[in-house]
Amino acid sequence: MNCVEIPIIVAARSDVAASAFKDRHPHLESALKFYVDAPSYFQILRDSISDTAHDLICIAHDDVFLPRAFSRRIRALADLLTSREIRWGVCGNSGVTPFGVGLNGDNVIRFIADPHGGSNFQGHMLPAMSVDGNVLLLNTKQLREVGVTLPDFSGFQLYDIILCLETISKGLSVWVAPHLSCYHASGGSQEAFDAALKSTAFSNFLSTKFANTAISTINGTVARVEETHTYSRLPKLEHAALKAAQSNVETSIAIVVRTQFKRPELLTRTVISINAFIASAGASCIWNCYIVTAQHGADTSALDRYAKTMVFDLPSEKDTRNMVIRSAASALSEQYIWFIDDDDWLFPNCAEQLALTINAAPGQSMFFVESSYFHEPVPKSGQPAFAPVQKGKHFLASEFPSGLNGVNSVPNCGMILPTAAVRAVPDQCYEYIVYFEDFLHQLYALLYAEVVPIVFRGLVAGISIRPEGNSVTEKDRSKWNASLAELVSFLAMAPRTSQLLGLKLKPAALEIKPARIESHQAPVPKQKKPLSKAIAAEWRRFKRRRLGLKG
Amino acid sequence: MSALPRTGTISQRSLRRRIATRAAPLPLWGKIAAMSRNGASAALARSRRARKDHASFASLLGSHRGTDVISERGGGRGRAAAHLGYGCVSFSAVSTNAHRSSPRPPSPSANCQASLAPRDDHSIIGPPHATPRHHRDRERKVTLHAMQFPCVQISSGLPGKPNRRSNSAEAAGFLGRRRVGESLSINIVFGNDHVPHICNVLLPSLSTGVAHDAQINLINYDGLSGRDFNIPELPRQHSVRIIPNKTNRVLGFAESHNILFRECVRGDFFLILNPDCVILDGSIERLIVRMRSSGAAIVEGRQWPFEHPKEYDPLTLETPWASGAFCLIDSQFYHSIGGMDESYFLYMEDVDLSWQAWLHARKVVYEPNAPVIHFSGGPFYRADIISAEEYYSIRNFLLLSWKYFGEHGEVKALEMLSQHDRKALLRQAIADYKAVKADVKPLVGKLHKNIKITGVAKFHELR
Repeated sequence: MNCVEIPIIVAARSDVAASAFKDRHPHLESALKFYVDAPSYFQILRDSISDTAHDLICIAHDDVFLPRAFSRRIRALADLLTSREIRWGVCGNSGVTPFGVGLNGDNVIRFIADPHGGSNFQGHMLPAMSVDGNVLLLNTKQLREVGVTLPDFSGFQLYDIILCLETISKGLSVWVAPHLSCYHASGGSQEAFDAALKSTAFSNFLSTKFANTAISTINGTVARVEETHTYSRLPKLEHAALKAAQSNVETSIAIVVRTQFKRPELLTRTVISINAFIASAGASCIWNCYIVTAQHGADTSALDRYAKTMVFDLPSEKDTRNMVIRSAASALSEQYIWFIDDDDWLFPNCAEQLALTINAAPGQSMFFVESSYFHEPVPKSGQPAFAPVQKGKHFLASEFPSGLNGVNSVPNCGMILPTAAVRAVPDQCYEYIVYFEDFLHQLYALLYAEVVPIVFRGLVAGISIRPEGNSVTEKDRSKWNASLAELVSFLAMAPRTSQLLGLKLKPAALEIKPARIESHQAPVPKQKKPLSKAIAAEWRRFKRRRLGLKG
Repeated sequence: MSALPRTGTISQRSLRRRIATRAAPLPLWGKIAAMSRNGASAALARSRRARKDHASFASLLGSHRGTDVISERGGGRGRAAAHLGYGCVSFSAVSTNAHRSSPRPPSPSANCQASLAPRDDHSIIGPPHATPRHHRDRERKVTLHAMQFPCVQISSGLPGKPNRRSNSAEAAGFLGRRRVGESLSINIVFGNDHVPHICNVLLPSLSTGVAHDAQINLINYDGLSGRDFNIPELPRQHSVRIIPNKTNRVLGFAESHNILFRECVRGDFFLILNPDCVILDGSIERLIVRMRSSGAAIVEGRQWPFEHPKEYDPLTLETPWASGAFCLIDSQFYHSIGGMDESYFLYMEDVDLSWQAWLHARKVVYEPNAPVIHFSGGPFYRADIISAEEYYSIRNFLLLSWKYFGEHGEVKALEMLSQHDRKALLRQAIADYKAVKADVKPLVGKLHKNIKITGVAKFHELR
């Protein structure tokens, strides 16, 4: 590809700055154009979009350092998006995604180095709700076609957020991509950003685009001023961002229910709920429901319209509960597997957003979703299992990293696994580990080198907890302990997995993250509470140890 | 609680029952007002007098019903109370109306335009008696005339007892109340997004869950739908009828159900069902049996997994109001009151319908043995979204307060809402309410112990 195909417009504050930029980027000289001393970044963007001479334009600040292969990479990025038939408008090198990504489960993704820190992700482009404006690749042809226009605001703040929101509201996607990575020699001015947020005009703009009262940006949570809290029929930002990012990549998921047909009334409930989930999930992914078992001769005619039944020949003298999982993983051709126990159920409420997330996520992702215990009585045999339930413990998807520290915090129904990662688990694990199969999957998949953890914040699965008939409520824990012994042993003897066990992620997590908006929590930004004396002392000791100081 | 003055006194019977059922906080007003001074007997006597005085009641209703309304869908989802989060009343665990997933409503301004737009009369085929409220005088005359007719029917049954037809139906067996050759009408209002669930989940569940003749009637609230229905194979005794929405605008919940009622319902009772439900075997039959045995105007089923926490009498199963997500309604009653009040558009029209039942000396009953899967409730609501539910809960709370408690109710409601933390939203909802209010004549003086307000957008006590 010709590296000058995509013009790079540099917003230079002066001729001196333009000259300096040119001097340090001789490899891009033919592509560079300068927009000197513009009164407003909104003006630069408006002019760039309306310039019909180009279908694609890159716009950069004058204080960025672009790598040597930059022109080639932005062309490759444009080609990649085109090949996936994605309707896109804006790409940036750092931004906020609609779902959590990586071992920290952050929504802030950085393919950039700047005074705040370095990159926190690599290798995959991700859909975004907003991106930072230091380097932008604009699909100006598409932006013109859908009528993206920017308000006549002045200054150099919020233009990137407004551009992204306007783009998404017009049905085009926004991406954060590693192809645009660079070094940005400015940390920006948080004060100027915060001052700009007080603009009622900006708040009014937000109120006409999305139903959200607050949105996450790379600079922190941006909340609408109260005066703009009015109702109109608007979409949610996260959903709109994912919907716009939908690609033609065919993604298939097998929902696998293993059963021994001991509780047919609960099994029926499970597959009905899965059917409802699939019906609500939309067309962005292909979902198939399977009932897998080692029990021959069971009458599944009543379930045939909900699921395909797979019966495996397994040795009857062994506990085959997990062996059917291995057999199913080998037999299925779908890219992802979601194991649902035969007394769990799925909530369809977030199905479409989850499907869009899976569609837009990197190919070998591992999706952590939220689930909850629901306490219910033991159903009477032959009676429908729809007694009143009581919500119990809630499993947050974002707490999955504690698994690396030995805490099993994700049930089986709380994760969607790449089939390849499940197949990489040694066969013997399924024979010996019966009780910690969720922990087994979680750890092996996390240690599988290619897996990208994705955190989906939304209640998706319900787990039935009954006074009896649950392995969770068994009083004798010896079977659990035996399984844990096997699991630890297998992991300790697995030299080819990545060295992540024991990694304490949360204390070391990057600090520049926006306030997350949990689905079940108010988004009001919380003020930092002062550390208690004990914690503060511990924190000081920790820092001194890190610096090699005594005490 | 204590910050709000209570009105009137509580009858001894009410107090005894409250203690017996360990019902927690007392209603703030409404119920107390209804029971005040003369106690329950006075309220009952009032309602009896009202029924005897057909003409005056009919004219009262008629003058109300014939008024202009902004036709929007509504629902008494107490869920909104949790949204609003006021400090003056205790509804910490309330998710009153968590159970109906709402169709996407238009913007208020769009609603106003829609309500003012000429109505496509060709979209309504059926008896004129149930024609809802319209703006134009020509239509209003028809409505007024029609409203007087059904009110005569109200007196066919004795207060608090099943009407005569219901008694005879018991002897005639399960389908006895319905006329020969007529099937049960199951009315569903849906949006475009519900089509896959309806075709792949709901209709198949009805196939297995309803043993007798049934006609499933559907209408798309979201305007003309370009999506094709892929109707699954149904049992011979079931049929599906899709009523086109020819208005080319978003219909309210009440308006949609009123159209379905006019167009499709011919039997003695009919079921209204949310499009995102899954029917369980035997549940509808249990509703029918309960309706026959109780003589109720409305029998509500139980939602799973998030059961509504509102109170019901464990012996009589009476409950203050029934959710419109899954309930069986007496056609005669529905006809007699002119259908659901379309003023609400979205949310709380089912509370209004239930209160109308109580005013007409009919019962509203909860049937806990008739579950339906309806995945809706507290965990799925977000505080960082300005939702239709939050907006209409404010607007319709005012409307209900005004309609049933008059100026006193309006003042109280505004006082309670004054603590709302989204002032701009509050102002918007109040302005919308005032635009509608002029067309809604209050029914002050026609109270019942079950017509009560216990908090913002909350019309029950917690179980």
